Amino acid sequence: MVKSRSLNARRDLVKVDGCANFLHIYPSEVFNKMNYPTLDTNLHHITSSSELEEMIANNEKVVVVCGRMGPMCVPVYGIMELLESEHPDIKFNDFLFDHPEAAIIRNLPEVRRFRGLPFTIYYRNGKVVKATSSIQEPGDVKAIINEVFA
Amino acid sequence: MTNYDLIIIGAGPAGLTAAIYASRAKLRVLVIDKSTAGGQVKTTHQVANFPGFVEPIPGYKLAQNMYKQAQLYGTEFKLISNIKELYLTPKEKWVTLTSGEKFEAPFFILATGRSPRLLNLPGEKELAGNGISYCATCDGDFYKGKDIFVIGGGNSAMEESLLLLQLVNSITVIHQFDELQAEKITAEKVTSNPKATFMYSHEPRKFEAVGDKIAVEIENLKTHEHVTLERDGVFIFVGMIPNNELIKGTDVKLNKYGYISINEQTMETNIPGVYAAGDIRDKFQWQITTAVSDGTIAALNIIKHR
Ligand SMILES: Cc1cc2nc3c(=O)[nH]c(=O)nc-3n(C[C@H](O)[C@H](O)[C@H](O)COP(=O)(O)OP(=O)(O)OC[C@H]3O[C@@H](n4cnc5c(N)ncnc54)[C@H](O)[C@@H]3O)c2cc1C
Repeated sequence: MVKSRSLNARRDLVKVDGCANFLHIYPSEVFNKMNYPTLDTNLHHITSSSELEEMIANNEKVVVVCGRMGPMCVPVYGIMELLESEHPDIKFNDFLFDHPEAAIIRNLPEVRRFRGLPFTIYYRNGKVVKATSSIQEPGDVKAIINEVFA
Repeated sequence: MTNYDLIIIGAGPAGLTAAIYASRAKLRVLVIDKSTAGGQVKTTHQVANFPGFVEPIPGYKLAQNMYKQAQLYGTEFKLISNIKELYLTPKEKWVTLTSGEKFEAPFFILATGRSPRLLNLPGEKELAGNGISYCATCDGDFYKGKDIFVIGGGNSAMEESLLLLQLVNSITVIHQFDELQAEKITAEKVTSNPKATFMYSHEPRKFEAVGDKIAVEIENLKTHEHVTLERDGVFIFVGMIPNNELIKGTDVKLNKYGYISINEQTMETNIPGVYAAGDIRDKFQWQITTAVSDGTIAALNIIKHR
């Protein structure tokens, strides 16, 4: 797994300017050569589609926040970081939206209408049980967790 | 019931600064926030005007630093915690959380800040993130080459419109007044762009998803005629409101706009021992620097008087 690095530290390589100018979606092989960044959060970083598949196959309850280090995304990572200690039975992760292999999330039918980052996906027993778009209130996230992972 | 020397409500720059000062002075400090730490700063793309950072610093980084600094000096936190009841009198001050916990202190600082105003129209909440957005830098990319509405005519609406104009095919600005409220220099950059058109004296009334489009019912405020138009998305920038819901239930005095009235020398409110700091207090400049200044003044007065 690629080590956690902040987006800003890699600005030179991926031309990222916060989330104003979006990371270009590079072909996988080009992006991988760039030693792509992971998100600057304390969550576990998913860095490939196979890792995500393995995660949801081996764990009953999984949450993935797929976004950038932008104003709507950061609060959602923060909420998940705080909830992580309260819910040891749930695996909380992030996944850089612009990672080519995050297509596994970008192409989910559940997110077809989504137009706001981050895309937050809740998996139970390998299946998507809930997906939300954009910033969420802590109370809404708690309610979803209580509903779908009860 | 747990006792503290100082309880701060709100973990934005004002609350965190007060926490740093008070904790360094060895007060036992609790900060309560319904969200994560950082306030509006954590949702700010880049901060370029906070002294000490030569390069602009991402807002979330600045927020994280302030939070870590307060933790380092021993401030305790209750984050993503909802307050059930706030009781503030000259003699007795306490707060309860929905979790059932109760905390008491002789001093309170109210630092609940402001939030973006929502229109609270039918369809708005349901379509947020699915065609309705509040952040051009975050979601503009989804609307490349598309036709969108921007609602609002103030500074933030026009600044965000300038960003969106680089991406979208067209913008239709819906604004309630006859002219834009934004600074002239910014407004002119938008009005002179051929991709922008304006519906002055109009207000949206309802949002609805129609296939991949958003249908917006719009009222002409002069004729009261309603028209429904479809676009690919809607961006809403209609100003900020004080987070005063909790405070309204107390005897703390608010001004007519809903901001807390204070003594400018001390930040103390009409209730002895209760202070207000940052964007929630009656002021004209809502900035990080002014918020941290308020937090400093409030904390130093509390340290002096305890
Ligand atoms: C998009 C944007 C960009 C900005 N850019 C800049 C900039 O570049 N430079 C600058 O100087 N300023 C900027 N500002 C303004 C600056 O962020 C604010 O002035 C500053 O954050 C105010 O700090 P505060 O602590 O008073 O309030 P806030 O930052 O609003 O924090 C208040 C805190 O109180 C919490 N809270 C609210 N209600 C409750 C409740 N009932 N119970 C518990 N907790 C509660 C909130 O969750 C929040 O964490 C920007 C603001 C925005 C929105």
